[in-house]
Formats: sequence, structure tokens, C-alpha cells
Amino acid sequence: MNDTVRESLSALMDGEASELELRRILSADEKAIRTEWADLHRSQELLKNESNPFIGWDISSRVMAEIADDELVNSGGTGWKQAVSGLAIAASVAAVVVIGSMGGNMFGGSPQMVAENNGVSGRVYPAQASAAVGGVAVSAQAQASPAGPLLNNDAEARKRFEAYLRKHTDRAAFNNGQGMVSYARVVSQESE
Amino acid sequence: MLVRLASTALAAALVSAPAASIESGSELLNRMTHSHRELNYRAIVTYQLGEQLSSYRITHTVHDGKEFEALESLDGDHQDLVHHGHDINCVHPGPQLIRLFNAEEEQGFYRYYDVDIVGEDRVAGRDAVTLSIKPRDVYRLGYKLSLDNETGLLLRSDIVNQQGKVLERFQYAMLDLNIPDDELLVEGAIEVEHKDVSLDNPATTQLRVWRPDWIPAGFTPLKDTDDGSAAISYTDGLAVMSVFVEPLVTADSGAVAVTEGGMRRGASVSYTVAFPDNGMFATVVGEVPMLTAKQVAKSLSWDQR
Repeated sequence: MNDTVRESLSALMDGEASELELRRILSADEKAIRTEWADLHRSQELLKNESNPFIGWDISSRVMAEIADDELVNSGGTGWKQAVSGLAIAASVAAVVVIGSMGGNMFGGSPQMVAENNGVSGRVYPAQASAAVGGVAVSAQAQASPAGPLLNNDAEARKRFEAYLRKHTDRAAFNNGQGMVSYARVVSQESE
Repeated sequence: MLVRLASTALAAALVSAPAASIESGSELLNRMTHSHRELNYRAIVTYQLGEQLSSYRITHTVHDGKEFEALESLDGDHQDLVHHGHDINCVHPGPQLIRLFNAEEEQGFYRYYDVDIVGEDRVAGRDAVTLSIKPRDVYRLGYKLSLDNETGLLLRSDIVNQQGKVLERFQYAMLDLNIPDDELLVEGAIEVEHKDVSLDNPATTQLRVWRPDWIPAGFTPLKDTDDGSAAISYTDGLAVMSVFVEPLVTADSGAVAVTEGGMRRGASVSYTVAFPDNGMFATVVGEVPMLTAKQVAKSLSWDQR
């Protein structure tokens, strides 16, 4: 992270960041920013001689871990269904937007309603909409669920997973403190 | 009055401390890492994954300073796995991370986990002490381990995710410590090759042209002499994860269809990422949260040649 970003961050903490500085921070390296942000707070607290029981807590990484797990749980449907529903939602949003703006332009009335419709489409469906524009079903899947059952249903990927898990267990059994029992993970999988 | 209150509180604290606290959590953990290699025993173990339960017979003996062990499935298809002749003195880095330090030092393993004795239990008809091992960051899973009071053997193990959900459970249903040490010296048993796993050394690192730019703090690389260029594993003492790298196109099977994504089974996850610019794809497999596997897989970089 360069000094400009660091200064912008410091300004943000003092509540004095400009629009430009905010943009600079948002486009900078995420991990470095987080560390720097925590460091700034820590040094400020030290200066003010305050103690904070939550010091050193990085809630953002915990939230990201939860999201990574949620993606797995929520992406229960098969790939094509998700892709199709994603496209369908995107299409319906597009329709709403079109009707909404037509309403605004053609009849001259209720500009408020137009704003509302646009607001909804912008807030809820940006990911699906952009995938639909790309026109590739696979990219819609990848965005909806970057992990999990998607590949669990893929026979090739599953075969690879089994082979890797066996090799991994050869190494893990000597190092995880559990020994031979670890192989139950491999054997139970193969007998399914 | 205040003094009396204080002394009552102290007495209460003393009474509520578990009897097994003569041994600290770190001493118990240390005993766990080597007792399963040093004793002669036969056990029935159940392995539970969600709704699915399977059982195994495990036999372990030490004969002439070498370990012999067998795992036999007791339901479904009959499957046997035999390990013969592993040198009892062979040292592996995982247990070392636990053995070399204790909880008070906050070093090695104990920098990344909080280890607490949570109580006493009875497993497989034996008295056990239960340890709670909680990760201090989001990159590891948690453990609830019940260890045999007498031997330190791991009798029950729950692996728990960051949200507190049990992902898989091993539990002994029966343990017999009185078996002869030549129990497993059977004719014609297939000897499973023991791979020499030790701390990473520069010789194999040079063979490998790729590396993860990020692994969670506290994970130590293991060296595998067989395929140092295609795989590397890391451990923090309890969790182990392995990175496998393969070409996207091979001579015999042509192009491999690789989709980026994860897979999960019990506590084990994998995450695969393709690196088309390098013509390779990488898969991280391990008993770690999906976030960890994903971040490690995505961080891979190749040497510029």
C-alpha cells in the first residue's frame, strides 16, 4: 500500500476523507487496507490510553468465512435450474425497468414510481443481470455458488476429490494426532 | 463478611475444577499424539457423517520397534487397509508442533487454538477426559476430543465448524488393550508404502515451480519425497491440508474439464482453481473451512521462467 492510500485512510478515520479519497481506498488492496485500518485504531487507542476488549478482532474475516459456508448450504439446486432462474429473474427485472421507464416517459406521470422500480432492480439483482448480459449460463452459476454441491454432482470432479483425499490422508494420518482412524474418511467414501 | 464471601467463592472454584486437572490440556494432547502409535490395541470405531454411520475394526501393534496397523470396514463392501513396518521412532511435524510447546508459552500450536479441559466423560466403557479446542481465527476448525484417562488414546473426536456445527464424529465403541504384539504378522498382507514425510527442505522446493502466496499462520509444510513437484501438504498440529497441482491437458486423457468450485464431505473440503495461463489446475484438500481452501487455492503463483 502506498503513502497516498495510507493518508486517505487516516483522513477517513478522522472523518475528513473526500469523495476521491474514499474511491482510492475502495480500489486499493483489500487485505492490506484491513490490517492498516486495525493498526490505525490500535495506535489511536494507545495514544488516548484507552483499552478495548475487541482489539485484534477482525470481524470481516469471520463474516467472510460464514458467507463461504452459506454459499455451500444455499446452493442446493442443480446448476441449470439456478442458471435458468437467474436468467428469468434478470429478464423480469429488465422488463420492469423497461415498463417503468416507458411509463415515466410516455405518460409524463409518476416519476416517483420510475425511481422506485429502478431502485429495486439496482439493489437486488445486479449479479444475475450482468450474468444474463454475458449470456453464458456457466458464469451465472459461478457467481451464484462458487463452491459446493455444484461440483458434488460432477462425477469427474468427485472422482478426483476421492483420489486427492486418499493421498491427502496418507499425509494427514501421521500429522493430525488421530492416526489410522483418519482412513475411515477415505474408506467410507469408496464404499458408498 | 467480604472475606467470607471471597473464601466461599474460592472454595466453589476449587470444587468445580475437574479432577483430571492434574494433567494440563497440553499434556493430555501431547499424550494423545503418541499413545496411538505406541500401544497394542484393537478397537471398534464408528464414523458418523450427518445421517450416515459406518463402523470399523482397528488393530494396532508394535513389534520389533515397528508399527503394524489395520483398518477393516464392518459394514457395506468389505475393505481392508493395512500399514506394515512404520518405524515407531519416525517423527512427524504435526505432533512435534504439539509436543515442543505447552499452552502457557503461547507458541506453536497454542498460538492458534485455545485448549480447555471441559469435563469427564465415559466412552467405550472407559473413563475419559474431554478437551475443547477452539480456533482463534477463522482459518481452522474446532475440535472436541475425549481422551482415555489411562492411556491418552483418542476415544471420541468431534470436528466442529466455525458456527459450532459438528461436521464428523469418530467414536470408539470398544477398546481392547490386551492383544499380542504379533497379531498382525499375517502372511501375504500388502505392505502400504510409507512415505517419508518430514519438514520441507530446499532440494524439493526447487523442483516445485509453484507455491501458495498465502497460507494461514501456524501451518508448517511437510515434505513428500515422492511427488514434491505435484503436491505439498501443511499442518498446524491438528489440521492438515494438501495442495495438488496437475496439468490441464495430458497426453493420455486430453484436456481435463475443470470447473472452479468446492466440494465437501464431513470435515474434508476441496477447492479447485484453474490457472489457464500456466496450463495447470490446483486443488486444495483438507480438514479446514472452505474459506481457507479457497483462499489458498486462489493464492497460487508460478515462478517466472
